[in-house]
Amino acid sequence: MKSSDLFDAMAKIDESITDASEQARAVPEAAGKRGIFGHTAGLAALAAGIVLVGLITAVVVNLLPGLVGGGVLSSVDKGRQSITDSYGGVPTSFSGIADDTEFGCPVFRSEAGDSYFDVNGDGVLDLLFSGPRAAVSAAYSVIGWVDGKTGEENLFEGLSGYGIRLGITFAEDDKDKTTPLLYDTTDAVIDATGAEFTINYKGDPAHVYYLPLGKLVIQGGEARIESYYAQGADEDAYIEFAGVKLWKPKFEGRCANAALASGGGILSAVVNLSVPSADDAIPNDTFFKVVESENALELLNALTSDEEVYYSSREVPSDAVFMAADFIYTVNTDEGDRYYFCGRYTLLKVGKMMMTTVCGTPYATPEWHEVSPAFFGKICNVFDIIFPGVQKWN
Amino acid sequence: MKTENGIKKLRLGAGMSQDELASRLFVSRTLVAKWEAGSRRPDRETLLRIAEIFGADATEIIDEPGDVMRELSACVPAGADISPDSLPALLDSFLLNLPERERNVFVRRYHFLESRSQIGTRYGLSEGNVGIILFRTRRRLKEYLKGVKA
Repeated sequence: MKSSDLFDAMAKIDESITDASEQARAVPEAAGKRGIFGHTAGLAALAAGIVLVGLITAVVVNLLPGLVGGGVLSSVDKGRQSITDSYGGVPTSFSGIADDTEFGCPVFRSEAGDSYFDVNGDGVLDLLFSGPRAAVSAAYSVIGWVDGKTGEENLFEGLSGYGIRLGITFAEDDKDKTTPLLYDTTDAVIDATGAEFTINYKGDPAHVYYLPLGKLVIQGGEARIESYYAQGADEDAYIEFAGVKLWKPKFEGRCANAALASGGGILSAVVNLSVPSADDAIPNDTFFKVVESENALELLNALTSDEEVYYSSREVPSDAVFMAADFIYTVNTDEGDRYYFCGRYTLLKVGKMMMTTVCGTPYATPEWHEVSPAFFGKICNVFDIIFPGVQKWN
Repeated sequence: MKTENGIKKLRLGAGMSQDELASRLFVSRTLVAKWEAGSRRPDRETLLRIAEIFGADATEIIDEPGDVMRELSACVPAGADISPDSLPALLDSFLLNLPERERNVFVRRYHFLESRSQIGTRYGLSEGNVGIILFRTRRRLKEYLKGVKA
């Protein structure tokens, strides 16, 4: 089958369908312009403020339970709602067993006990909780997009970022107990099939990349990723993980995709950070790495260097902490338009050292630049509280 | 889409009636009228034949076929072996199961070959939102076609 077959077939679809599309008209905007998340413009006006609080809360939500033995604070519960709002319905923290009321999105449960979430209500199942095992982890996808704003028409036609995070362990015998961020070494197979990282650069379908993940296996004290590959229209987009061959992406996307598992002597990190610029005068900052390291500093260096690096060794720092928080930043313009920007905050802490990165859409609007310094500052302040004395890279 | 105006313009320029054009293309006059009215569009082969009849370039009849074709290529699953004859019915089934907005946007783009801007204006959506809807629907179509047995 070829695309021309589809083209021709589209010319022959039922007339009732084409007629209906002709008769359909724009929805009146009297009640306020609705964003794609379904919030009204009035609510959206609060979003830019909420997102900052939400993101910080996301950090706290993700870190506190680990620090206080799995407890959940009431303020965290309150913050979770803000986070959910900020993400347009995407839950950012799973400190309990998910249900449809907690996260406010449809959930579908398979006979095998898996739970699938349609986090953004588009009918596509984005999130999988693999349930019946003794210990399982959660993966989630976050989507965001950007409207053309600064002359770059349809800068990102579609999804500007899908991310997957592997970072929370549920214990079957105690559903409310979570061990976020730091993996216990419990045998688990996390099926992340279908999770995608997608960039459609400048609306050009030739630059759509899919990075479907296969399985993250934590077994016998080791963590590994199986069937990790990327595919796209460009041959450069292919990578092979099992063959320990890495790929340096050519695309100029901007997003971060990160996953880490640790336990029993291995620290594995899959990090994709891409901070491009629409301005040719400003160099892009893009790197993609899959790292396994026996040495914390080596791993940090590998993650933060601009070189394409692959490490494979066998030791993990016992106190390794990693997190990646996605965010969507919302701006309301005076004209009543709404724009969404996505990004990811990442943190890697090993011993007394910590690496943080914020990746997002810095060039899309001037509003971002106004918010950005405060954004960074607040984040760092939060970490100062959580990790006093920890050295930071920014 | 400029198909309707393009065909009519070429036909009138050649002093040809709808009946004459229809007979040369082996289609009904009603269908030619629908093309010209913009409620239907010819398939690729017919477009080329129309262009040939009038000694014109296909781009005088249709906008950005290359863009549409490239976008549709994203819907073609690898190794799919689906008969072209069965595709219209499959598409009908797929489209009828889409939410109304997604269906209409998809039809405007890939049947009527309208630009994102035109679709956005028609349905009160931003171009970006139209792009998102198209992107997701193409992905759905690909999944749908992937599940179709040859």
